[in-house]
Amino acid sequence: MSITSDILRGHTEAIILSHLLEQDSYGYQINKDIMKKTDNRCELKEATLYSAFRRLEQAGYIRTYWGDETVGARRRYYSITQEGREAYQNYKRDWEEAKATIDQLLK
Amino acid sequence: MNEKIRKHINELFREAPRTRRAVELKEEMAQNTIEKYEDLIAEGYQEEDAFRIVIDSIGDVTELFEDLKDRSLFLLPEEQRRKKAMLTAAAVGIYIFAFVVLIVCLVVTDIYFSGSELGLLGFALAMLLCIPPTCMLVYAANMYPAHNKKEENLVELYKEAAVTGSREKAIRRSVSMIIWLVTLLLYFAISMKTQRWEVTWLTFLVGACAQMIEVLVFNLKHSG
Repeated sequence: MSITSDILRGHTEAIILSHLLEQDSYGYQINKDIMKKTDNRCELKEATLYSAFRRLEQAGYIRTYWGDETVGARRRYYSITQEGREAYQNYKRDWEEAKATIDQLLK
Repeated sequence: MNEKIRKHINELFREAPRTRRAVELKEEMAQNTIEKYEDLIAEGYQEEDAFRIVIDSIGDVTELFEDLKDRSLFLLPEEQRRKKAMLTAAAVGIYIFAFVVLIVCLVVTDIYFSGSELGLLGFALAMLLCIPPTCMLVYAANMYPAHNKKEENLVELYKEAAVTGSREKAIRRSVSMIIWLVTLLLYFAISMKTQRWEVTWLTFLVGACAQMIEVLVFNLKHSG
């Protein structure tokens, strides 16, 4: 389990980008989505999530804007940029390669 | 309960740098945490349990602003820094203006009103003109934000010393600048008045003496 969460943490940025490919989203929704897809086995610490947001923002892969919720606190949404889409495709390709290599090595 | 969550997050951000980005991050974190809390309550969790779960899931936030921390310690907020630069520039400008006034008065006396007291008047005027920029420089030197002491630990004491140190250095710098400018003004004023250039350079010795006294005063204050 600890290996799983370590590996996951290393791919936080890619997981976020993958989620944003479908739709604009905000921190808690992304985390909820991760939990749902992994049957509640995995959840990112919020600090991990936010530092990944900042890195992605600095790299120009995502943009942020404040929602206009009328009830309760405003949400901070993120959307993926064109550069982000390209980075995601590269990342995905690299990951497929790495996965294949590790599969070969761990037979 | 929302207030309790906000209070907890405020506490987490106590050491965060005072920037707009930090405020936004805090707001974002509070909103997400509260939303999660409300979901847990809707799922049937007890208030206390839900609170503990959401707080636990935040994790270590210090890593988020750690790299900003060291720099923000010694940097003035942008606006204050600009104000300080403006004050310093204006002060230097007025010093130069005072000097020009003095020279003009002395030259005019020399050429047109030989023997009149216009030179002395010019000197008095120049000294008066030196008062506002001196006040401005001292004020600018004091604009370093005094560090807010909250905990008596070593890090806090170090920060305090660092801030106090740079403020004192700034004050010392402006004081010695003032001493040398006044010395220079006095030198020219006395020289032109008396026309005894072979003796008046002694003014600079007086200036050096004043400088030594200044150092002594600061050191005495420091040890005392």
